[in-house]
Amino acid sequence: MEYLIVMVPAIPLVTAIITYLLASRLNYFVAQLSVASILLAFLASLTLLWFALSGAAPVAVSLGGSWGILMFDPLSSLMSVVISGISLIVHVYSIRYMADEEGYARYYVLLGLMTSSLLLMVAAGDLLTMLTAWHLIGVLLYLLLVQNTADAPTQRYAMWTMLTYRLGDLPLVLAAAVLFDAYDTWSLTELFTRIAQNPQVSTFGGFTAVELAGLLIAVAAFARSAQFLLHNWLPYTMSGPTPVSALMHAGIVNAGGFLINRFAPLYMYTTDVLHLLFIVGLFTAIIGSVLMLAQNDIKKTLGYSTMGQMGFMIMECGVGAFSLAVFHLIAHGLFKGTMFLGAGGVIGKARISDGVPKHELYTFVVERQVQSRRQPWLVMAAITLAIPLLILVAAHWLVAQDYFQKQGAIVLLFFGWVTGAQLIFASYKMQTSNPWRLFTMIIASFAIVVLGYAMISHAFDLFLYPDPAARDLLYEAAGVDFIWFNLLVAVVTANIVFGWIMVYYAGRFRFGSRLKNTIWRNFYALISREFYVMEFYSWVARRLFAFAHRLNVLLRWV
Amino acid sequence: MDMPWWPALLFLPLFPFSIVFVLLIKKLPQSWLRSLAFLLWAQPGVWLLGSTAAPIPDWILYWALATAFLYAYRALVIRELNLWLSYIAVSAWSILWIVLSVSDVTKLMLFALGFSLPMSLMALLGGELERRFQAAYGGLYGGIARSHPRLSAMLVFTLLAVIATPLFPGFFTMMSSIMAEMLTAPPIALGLLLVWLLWSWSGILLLQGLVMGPAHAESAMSADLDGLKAAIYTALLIAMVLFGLQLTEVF
Repeated sequence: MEYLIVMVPAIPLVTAIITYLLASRLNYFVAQLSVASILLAFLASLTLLWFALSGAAPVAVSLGGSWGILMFDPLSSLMSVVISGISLIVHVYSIRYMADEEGYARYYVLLGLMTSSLLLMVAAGDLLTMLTAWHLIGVLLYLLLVQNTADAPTQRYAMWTMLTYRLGDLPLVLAAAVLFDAYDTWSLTELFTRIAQNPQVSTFGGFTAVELAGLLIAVAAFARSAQFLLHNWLPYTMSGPTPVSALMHAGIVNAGGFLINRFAPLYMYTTDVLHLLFIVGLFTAIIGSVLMLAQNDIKKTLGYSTMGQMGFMIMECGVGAFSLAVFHLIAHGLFKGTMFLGAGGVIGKARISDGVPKHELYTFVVERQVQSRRQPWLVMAAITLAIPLLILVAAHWLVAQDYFQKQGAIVLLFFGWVTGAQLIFASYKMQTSNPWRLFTMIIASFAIVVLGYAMISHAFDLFLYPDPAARDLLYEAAGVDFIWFNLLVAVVTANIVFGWIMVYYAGRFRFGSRLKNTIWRNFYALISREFYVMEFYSWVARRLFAFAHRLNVLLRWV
Repeated sequence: MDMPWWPALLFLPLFPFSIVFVLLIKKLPQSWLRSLAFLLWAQPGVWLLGSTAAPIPDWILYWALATAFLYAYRALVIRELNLWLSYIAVSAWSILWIVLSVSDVTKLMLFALGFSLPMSLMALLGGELERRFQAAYGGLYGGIARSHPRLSAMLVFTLLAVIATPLFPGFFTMMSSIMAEMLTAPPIALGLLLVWLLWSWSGILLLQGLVMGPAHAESAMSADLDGLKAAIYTALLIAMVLFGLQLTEVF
């Protein structure tokens, strides 16, 4: 098994080196060679996952020296399969897609190096290897994004990506320094053992090393997973090759969720960091979704959709549902990768026909024709509120009876309930010949999704965190004071119900409509300019350059 | 023989003594001379620090950090490769004063070499650019990625080595100094991170001016780096990676 652990990141690396050295002789054969190597890495990863599912104990392989440790455990084996699988699809897709582009061999070299770095990151068994892989991913992503070397906007946004990634590298360096100083080891396995033995080792400023390192790791994850204020690079890097966008949105951007999961044994002993993750994730999920709705470019829409999803993933970590975040990142990676790879085809077909069937859904969503006859409101309100809740509770009770004792689980149930209720609520006004049939179908679909989600996420929980005590510690670290928690739930519930009432009675009352229009217009202007975040950063950069220039003139350029 | 430490201010240059080195690089006419200067300039400084018995005052650390930041920041708007390189060299070598506070002279010598080697190679590549385009200036011609793929590849990899990307030696030197300073002087560790970020930023800007952009008509008139030279440069880069890996053993 040791050989397999080394082989997984080594195969794409060796292939990339061979491709670089023999590029001129290999010509278009570079694609076949790269695909074959990634296929081999994927098969090796699958074998490792099979070992992990069979209950094989975690193994660490040292490549020699004080670092360079590769680790095999459930998380690394699962992530290796995901990365090599998505990379394989991207490799195959690129064979024809990139055939007419300049730098065909260079592209495959970089793709191979990127895959190798990603696989190294998920298998890293020590802090230094983790840092090396983390840093290299940013550099390689920049080089992949500037594949079209002649395009100015591509260069500009690739540089923003590189800078954001570098910003994200730095807190991780600090976190490694704090942890190494506090626990005197590079090895992650040893580090987690020592943390469990003594989580209260203090560092400067009165913080515990665990709390400070947890915060720094979270900031590194924020930059990599495009959390609000560090998100601009994501929707703007669409000028790169489409397969690179697919790899970025399906694999690279998920690194934040992976990193937090990798350091889960550290987060078990933190007190406040997971709350920060929850707040940042929630805020990003909302902002990302709002910005997504305001876009008229399909790739940018997908970019902001990824931002929203990443926010949700970080938020899941924030409530202690670490394994759910891994399930989410895999599911998101697969569907977003599919969407990116299919985006070009969809645009091409849409030029001929939009392909949208002109039936009830179309008249409701696009033409906004609503049903004039309304159902009895009491019955509908009961269906809206009670049925999603019943389905959610039943599904979760089926997989774990103690589930409802965890605050994080309640928060996620709450989100599920709101989503389900919103789905039913939104369909009341839809024109349909048989509304009860429609509601039955909606409820059945919702039940299938919830049941599937609950069962799969529970399976992930058992696979990634088999120790129930570890799972409880994570939920405990994410918990807040009982009174505050209930107060928060009450405020959010009241807010949502108020929103529904407002929507339900929209159009009936004209009171304050002018003020409302002004607010909406200004809000739309704000989101259409993406909250002016990019403008602000550009302004700061221009000022920095101007001052540096003045300084150089003052010092006579020496 | 006990030597005073202060002449080292010239060889591990702190502002305003750094002006001497920057002027020297500006005046040297040949790329191989500049390459030699980048390779060797810091070594007498390290030797002087090793030979002195006099204690070096603590405030030097803050002076060194200020110099490292000043030159890294100023490099943001520099588009001439040799001048940019001299700024980054001053910025990097001044960090060695910080490394000295937690390291011995033998390690310091290796760390200095780790910074100097990629710069020396970059100076030679600057010479290659000057021979082809009469200047190594970002934004003047650009687009050589298409017309000179080998030269561009060497420029990219060497620049990555200069800005301390893993697995090049500069990365491990930066890691070592940040690790050491994190608990004893956190503001210095934060300052070092900022300097590191500025190197990356200015490096990418320079790279975009030199390598990226639409291919210029003049670019196509000169030949790319020949195979042998490219092989030698690649071998040197691989040697640097191996040297970087070796540096982790002296952490």
